[in-house]
Amino acid sequence: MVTVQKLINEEGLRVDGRRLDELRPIRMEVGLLANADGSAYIEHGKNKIIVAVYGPKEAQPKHVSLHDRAVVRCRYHMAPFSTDERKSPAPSRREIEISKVVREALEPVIFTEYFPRSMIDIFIEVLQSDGGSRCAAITASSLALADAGIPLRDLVVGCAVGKVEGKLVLDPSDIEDKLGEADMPIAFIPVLGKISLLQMDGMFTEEEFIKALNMAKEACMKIYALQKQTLKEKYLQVEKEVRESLTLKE
Amino acid sequence: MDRKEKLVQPVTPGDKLGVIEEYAPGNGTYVNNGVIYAKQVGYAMVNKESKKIEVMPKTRIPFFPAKGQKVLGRVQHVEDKFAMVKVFKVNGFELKSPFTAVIHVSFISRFFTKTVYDAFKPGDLIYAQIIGDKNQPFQLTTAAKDLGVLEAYCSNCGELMILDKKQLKCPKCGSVEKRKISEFYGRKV
Amino acid sequence: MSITPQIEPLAKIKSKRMIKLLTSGKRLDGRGLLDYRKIEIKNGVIEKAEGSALVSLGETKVLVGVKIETGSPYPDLPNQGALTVNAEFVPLAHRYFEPGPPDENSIELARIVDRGIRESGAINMESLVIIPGRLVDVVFVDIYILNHDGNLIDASGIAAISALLNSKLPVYRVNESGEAEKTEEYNPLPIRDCPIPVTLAKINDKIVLDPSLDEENTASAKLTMTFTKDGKICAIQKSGIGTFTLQEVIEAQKIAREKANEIRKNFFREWI
Repeated sequence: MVTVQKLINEEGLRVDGRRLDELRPIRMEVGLLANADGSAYIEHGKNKIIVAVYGPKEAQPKHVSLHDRAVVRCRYHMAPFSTDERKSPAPSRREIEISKVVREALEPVIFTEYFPRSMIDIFIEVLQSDGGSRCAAITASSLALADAGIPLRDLVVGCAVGKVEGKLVLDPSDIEDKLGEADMPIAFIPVLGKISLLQMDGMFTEEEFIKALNMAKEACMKIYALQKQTLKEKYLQVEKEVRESLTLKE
Repeated sequence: MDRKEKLVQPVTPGDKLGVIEEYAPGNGTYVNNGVIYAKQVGYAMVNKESKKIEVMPKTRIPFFPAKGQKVLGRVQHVEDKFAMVKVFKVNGFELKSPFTAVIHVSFISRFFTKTVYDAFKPGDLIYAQIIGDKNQPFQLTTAAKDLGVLEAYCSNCGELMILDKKQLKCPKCGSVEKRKISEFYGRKV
Repeated sequence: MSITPQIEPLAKIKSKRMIKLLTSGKRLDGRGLLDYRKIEIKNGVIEKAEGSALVSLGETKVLVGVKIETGSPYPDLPNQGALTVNAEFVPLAHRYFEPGPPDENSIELARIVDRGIRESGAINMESLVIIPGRLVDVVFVDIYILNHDGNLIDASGIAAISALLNSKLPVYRVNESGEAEKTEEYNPLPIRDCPIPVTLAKINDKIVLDPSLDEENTASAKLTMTFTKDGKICAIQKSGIGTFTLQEVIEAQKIAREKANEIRKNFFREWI
């Protein structure tokens, strides 16, 4: 029997001590895998996700290629040790669905038309899962794509909004996702102002839905700033070098 | 670097760089609703004279085969009129993911070649140039002095053949074979 | 692994005319942008199944069969029955469909329908327990696509809830030795809600309701929202490589809600 637990205490704080509209701690890293063309790592709460991007490269098998653009392949996979109980390494129905929605969330920002007949691979490995792993996976994947030097319209940010004990909560963790009444992951493209992933399960009224959308959007902007900072930090060293070489020439 | 150019700032994809009324979009940028954005991680540079904004990418630059590039590849499969080549080095850069290219019999040499069998054998290392990038597989040519086979292997015993008085000879079994060889045969390019 | 799908070769030719028509507010099949195709529901078409429904939505035909068997409960929910939704893209439904294991599209379809039924609490799962913690009723909802002409999600969702509404639940009696025995009696399956999915497609910045297959091939993205009887949203799925703005999503939600109410009024009168 599931133990009845209060997920929001009297002071309005959640199980992990967060306020209702507070994100979990997020840490990102780019370019950590030498073999991949681009890679990124994200720790979003307890989520630990590593993403590698290969390509653009020759489409394999040939018949999957498209004559006017690159095809994007995406695999979202959870490690057997990523969950409380061991997860079979064979792809589950959930993983197949998430692979599809994550691909569809990332494709709008990639300039696929620059690389006709080629293929871009995005491999997402969830090393440890917590609530909102697909959102963290999208955030990390767009960093990996940028790290691979693939031209992007913008970075994509993912964030979820849940509903716990009748209240909207930002970025629900595992337990809030399981015991809560609703979960709505979204992916947002800040520059274009567009939503590229939208899913929901649970119960929302119309007002809650609109409020949740705006909450998620605001949170996405916060994560977006972190993403940009991560990329800039990675290339800060290079910035110094460029400045030095410039001053030498002048 | 040119003095007219100014190092502006580090940018990431989606960073706003300016509007088209003021600046011209250059490499590494794109325009959406009249606003110029960066599409790569790097440095935005403004050319003060031409008012052109460019992004100098600081990440890896994705490789894409283009006309004119000189490539190194291994012959995979030979037919009467064409050969398939696996290209693994382009302009001196080793590729992480090799791609396939094709070479037609009419592009093997400046002289008439009746069949590809007279010019290449599977396993040969060739130096070639991309002449077509609009259709896949990409098309190659070896019709130049420097282009052609760099390493040939004996079809009898598989030994690396050596150039002996303008003839390709196997040092092991002594058989002599025909190839369209490059002037750099046996050397590195 | 998910990969960018191939484009239907005819789609590009048709899409030009479609987009031209859409700007004047018309569609290829003569409908207005927010018109639904004709829905027909036939209940109980398969006698051997505990419940079944054949739904046609224009030329789209979906058959849903419900089988109820006994099984062990999910370990984390020992006092609830279980629900399994599966979708089969039968090769006779379209030349796109190949025999073989379910692909990502059929899995996605099944999961959207599953979410609608599960999250709305449509089935009273607590009443499906035979021996607590050991034996429960397992409801299998199998979606069979017979003809594919677009908007499979709505057709399947409507068929699934119709089939569940006319499902009968076998009655089990627990004997002295603590084992369950099947009796000849049947009860109606306890249903508490009637989730209705409504799908919109975005074609060139125009939002159309109930996309046909041609429209789905041209559409950049689709948005499915499932509504419960009291107008709450219980499941959402965006699919396709296109995007929606925040405003479009909110507008789409209003359109979909209205349509869901209309469908409920026409076909599920007792669930208003």
